[in-house]
Amino acid sequence: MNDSPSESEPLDWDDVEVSADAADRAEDLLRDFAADAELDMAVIVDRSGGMVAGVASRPDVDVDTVGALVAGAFGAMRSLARELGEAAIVESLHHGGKDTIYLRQIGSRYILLAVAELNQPAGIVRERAAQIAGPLAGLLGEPMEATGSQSAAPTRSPEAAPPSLTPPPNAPAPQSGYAYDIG
Amino acid sequence: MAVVNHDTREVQFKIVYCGTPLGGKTTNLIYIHNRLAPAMRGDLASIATEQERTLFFDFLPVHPTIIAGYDTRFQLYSVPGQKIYGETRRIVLTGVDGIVFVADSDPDRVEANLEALESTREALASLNRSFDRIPLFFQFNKRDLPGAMAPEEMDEMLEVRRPTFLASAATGYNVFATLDAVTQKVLREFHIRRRLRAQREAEQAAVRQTKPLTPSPVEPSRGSPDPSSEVALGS
Ligand SMILES: Nc1nc2c(ncn2[C@@H]2O[C@H](COP(=O)(O)OP(=O)(O)OP(=O)(O)O)[C@@H](O)[C@H]2O)c(=O)[nH]1
Ligand SMILES: [Mg+2]
Repeated sequence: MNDSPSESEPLDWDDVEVSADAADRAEDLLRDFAADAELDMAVIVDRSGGMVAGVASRPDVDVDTVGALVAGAFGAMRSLARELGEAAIVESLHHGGKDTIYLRQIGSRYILLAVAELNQPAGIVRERAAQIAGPLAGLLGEPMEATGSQSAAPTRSPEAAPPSLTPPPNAPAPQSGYAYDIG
Repeated sequence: MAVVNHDTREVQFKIVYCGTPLGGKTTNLIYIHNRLAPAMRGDLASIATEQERTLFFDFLPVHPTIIAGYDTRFQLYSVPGQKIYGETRRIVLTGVDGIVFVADSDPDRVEANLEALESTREALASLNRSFDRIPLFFQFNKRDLPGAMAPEEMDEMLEVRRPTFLASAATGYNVFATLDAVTQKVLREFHIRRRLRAQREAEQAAVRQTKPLTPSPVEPSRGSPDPSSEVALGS
């Protein structure tokens, strides 16, 4: 059980912890990346589909769905590569009618998604992505504790009564906005 | 596993509806989507065939509440039930926190139920996850069918040793009861993991502080905690 599984896969049941500091620094990297490569979106998703950090200028896009689709598409691409005996870092590029969509593996656990308009040279997206891949992996790969320097982190786990999902008769629950930068 | 983001103050959990082909997994998610206030959920995204068979997954984000200042989100997925989609199930089950196994109460679906259970076990095993430890509830669906199998018979068939929900996803009967059970179990397990982690860190810090001069040859090791063990949730 202590042996790392094949291909140094992360243990699937470890929670992903992203400290405020790591998230901030990841977002700085992504913001620079988005500016350099003229992207509409640059986000980091964890392999299970959870959104970790990102910058986006498309408010109409549902980031939850994007996360799920990125993880699915990436998982499928990785399985395909594996099936064909391909062992390199997984990277994929989609040229659509309007957008270029780029995915890249970051470390063993994360996926970078970059979206640019089609007229933007894909080579630049790829090159810049390769440049930030290492720093991003470093930021996210460290054991990220919510240390004292961070603002109130939930070292106390949420211990209030778990939510009941049964819909109340008329629930006007306020929708909290996403904390992703629109820039 | 959960994704805890201390910056956006969000905790995300992944719940996957697995089970028998045509057993009603998608129907569960459709019902949940239809009944939850739009403010509590996102859109339902489905990757399906033209015949509405799930091809990759259905996805429904649900964010019911804020707990301890953290926006708690459950990402609900359903996998395709059909046997050929083993790899797809594996992909969708990556990082799963909790499972609802939807079985079909139709007596003609005994074989299909058993096969689906086996394929779920296989997918989890290939991800180094233990079927027996993961928060998982069975839902015996289609109880409205005339001639639905007796629940005891289904327990025996599927070797169920956990609480089970008798449901009819088509009408919504016990759909939310199942979802509540799995989300609460997932949250409990999360608390336990965090508590164990905090304890371990405190112990390690204490060891570092109290034994600075005696190099001990053996690191104080603890057995790997059983995350599914029932520990009372103290405050
Ligand atoms: N009688 C009855 N029919 C149901 C119930 N739930 C689902 N069905 C029907 O069963 C069929 C399959 O339902 P789905 O929800 O698509 O099943 P699924 O498990 O998602 O199927 P796959 O994705 O192909 O594995 C549909 O015709 C549903 O209307 C139920 O509670 N009772
Ligand atoms: Mg389906």
